[in-house]
Amino acid sequence: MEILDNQFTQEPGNNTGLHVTRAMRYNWRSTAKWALFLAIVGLVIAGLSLLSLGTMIPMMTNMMEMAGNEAAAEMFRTAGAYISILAGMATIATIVVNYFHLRFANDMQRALQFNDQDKFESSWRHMRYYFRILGILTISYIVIYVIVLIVMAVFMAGK
Amino acid sequence: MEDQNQPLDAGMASGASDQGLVITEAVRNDLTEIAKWAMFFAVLLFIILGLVAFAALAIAVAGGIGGIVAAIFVAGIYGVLLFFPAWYYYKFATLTRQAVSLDDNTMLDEGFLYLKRFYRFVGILVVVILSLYALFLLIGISMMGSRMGSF
Repeated sequence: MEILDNQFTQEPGNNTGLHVTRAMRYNWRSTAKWALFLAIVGLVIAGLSLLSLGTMIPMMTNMMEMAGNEAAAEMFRTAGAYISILAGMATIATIVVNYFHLRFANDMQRALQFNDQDKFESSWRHMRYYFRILGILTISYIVIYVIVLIVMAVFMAGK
Repeated sequence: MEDQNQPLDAGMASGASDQGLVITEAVRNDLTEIAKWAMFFAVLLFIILGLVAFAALAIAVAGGIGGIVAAIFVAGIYGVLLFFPAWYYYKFATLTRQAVSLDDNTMLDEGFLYLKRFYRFVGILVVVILSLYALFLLIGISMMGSRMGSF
């Protein structure tokens, strides 16, 4: 009982000067709705690109073979695996990003509906993961883009 | 695994809102990191906007009257599409960071308003893009159908 009393009266780190207002709740509700929509669209697009991943390369190889372009077909056969792996990794990253977005939206909606503090904290944690992974992915894409540009410039200069 | 062991008085601390949800230290930390990443994306979008403006200027200089028209078109469309999300992210990031560091609830309110505006803008943009895709798909299918019918 003494422990409970101490927790009730002291609780130093659990409460801050900021508090939840009606306006915040209204804005979060709207944000969560749009976030849910965007997450679902993102997951559907990721699913479609995952489906097309398995069929695109063999289809291109067959088309080149039928057209009698053996060199191009061979190129698709060898490079296709690498392209598929890279595209697969990008798709999986997209799925992970959208999963965290979905969790943010679902947890926020539930938190607002039932005044659930656990879900409220969980929603912001997932939003943080979403931003972090999206940021790291963006930095990775920029670095890859710059590397490809440098390689192409070196290749062109060599020719 | 999420921690299921909550104290019995969770949400009852002094200063808790009347509606049950509390901005705890964990949420403050999450908001601080989210604001940092939002600022990163805002800066990135502003840089892209600058590059687009530079490209539009180059088109205008190189292309004569037609170039100027094309530059206005490019700068107009990309300018609107890039400026508003960048601005909303920037405002959300600055207001939220200030709110957390100064314990200012009004700034936090305003920060979340900009986050909502960002999501609404991007959401409507996605709806428009998906509608255009559907429209082009329908036009393509109907054109293919009419060609098949003529054979």
